[in-house]
Amino acid sequence: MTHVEIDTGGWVEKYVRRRLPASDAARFEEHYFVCDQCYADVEAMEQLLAGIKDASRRGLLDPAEARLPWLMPAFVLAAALSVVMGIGLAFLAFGRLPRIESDLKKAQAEARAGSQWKSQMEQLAAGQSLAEANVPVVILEANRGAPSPNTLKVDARTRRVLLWLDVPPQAPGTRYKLTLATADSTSLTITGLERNANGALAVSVPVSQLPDNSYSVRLYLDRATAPSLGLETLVGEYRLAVIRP
Amino acid sequence: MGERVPSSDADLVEGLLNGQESAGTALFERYSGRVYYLALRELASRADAEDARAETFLRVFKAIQGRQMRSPESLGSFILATARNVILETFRSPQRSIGHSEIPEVASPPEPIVDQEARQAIEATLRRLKPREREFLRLQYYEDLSKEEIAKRIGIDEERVRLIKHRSLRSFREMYERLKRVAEVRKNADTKGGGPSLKI
Repeated sequence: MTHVEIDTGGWVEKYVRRRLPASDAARFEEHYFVCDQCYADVEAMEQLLAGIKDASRRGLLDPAEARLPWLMPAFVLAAALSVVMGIGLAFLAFGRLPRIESDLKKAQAEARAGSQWKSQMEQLAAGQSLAEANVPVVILEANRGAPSPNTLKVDARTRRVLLWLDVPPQAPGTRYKLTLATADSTSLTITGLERNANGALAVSVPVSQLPDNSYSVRLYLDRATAPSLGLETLVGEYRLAVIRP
Repeated sequence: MGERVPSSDADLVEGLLNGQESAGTALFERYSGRVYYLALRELASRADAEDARAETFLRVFKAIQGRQMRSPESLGSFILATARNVILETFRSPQRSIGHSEIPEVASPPEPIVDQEARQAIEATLRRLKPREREFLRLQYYEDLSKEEIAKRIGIDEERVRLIKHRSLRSFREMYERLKRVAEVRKNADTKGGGPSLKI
């Protein structure tokens, strides 16, 4: 019996597992009784088989145990990641996103308002700084002498109008207040008016503050200039109709 | 200066004939494992195997000292023949610890005790194997299925079965031998109170 024959024939395993015919087993015993290497192989094979049986009994070779060592942690990790992502998305969808959307809308509205305000301010600044041609002028005459109201026609390009009031020479005081009121309410009050070199009052009013309507225009004496005359001393009363084509 | 431990079988026989105590010890150490293994395999009882081993060596020592051994070089074969006789007599003995009256064709010896090195080597080997290869080991050595059945069960061809077997056996052997060497080195170190360590 040679080692080549033993190796190629798998004699060691066959002997240990009792798969050799009795005559071959007897021959192999005669060999390993004098061959240290083959006896070591027999011992190792016995230990291997016993170890495998022991591992099988302990469940280390179960199909589930055999397949799952890498699969189970991978599955658990994937499941945990999915749960975390799900919670994150749900938090964004139901918690943060509406709030973010609302904040965004508010910011957009504020930006729009800021832009409009800026535009208005620019328009106003332009209106105040630029010279304006063909400013409409209306000379207000007192009601008693005028059967029809004073008419002021403004067109789309007009930004301001000029009201001219002749103050009676005998009127007391030096400073006046003017109110323009429609039938339902007072719409405009201008204070601090003083006579000009012609003894009249000239008042520049933005047309935006004078919608199409009929106004009752009243001129009062500023009480700071004539305290002895008491409150709201009426100096003159006029009628004004603002018309846009 | 102590006795030289005989190395060859002829030296062992000569040492015994010259009354060397170390020769008897060496002979027992060399062959006792084999005799016990054979006896356990056939008698399927640890107690009977122990008795058969003791009786075998008693007869061998007597035969050597009575110069009944024709060829000292064939000591191994002589011990095997003696062991077989003892085993056969044990089978026929009415005092046998289990009640076999005849030598069974296939005995069922108790499972060998898995030593610590073997268990470690098995676990290290299993860690190296793929799940399918582990399943193969279970089916082959635990469920005792044939190659054909295994191939059918885990869906691999028979050639692949042969390769898996070869690979797992080789891996186990390498690991087992390393661990055994480590255990021996540690044992020697413990006995001598220190010594080299073997890294695996």
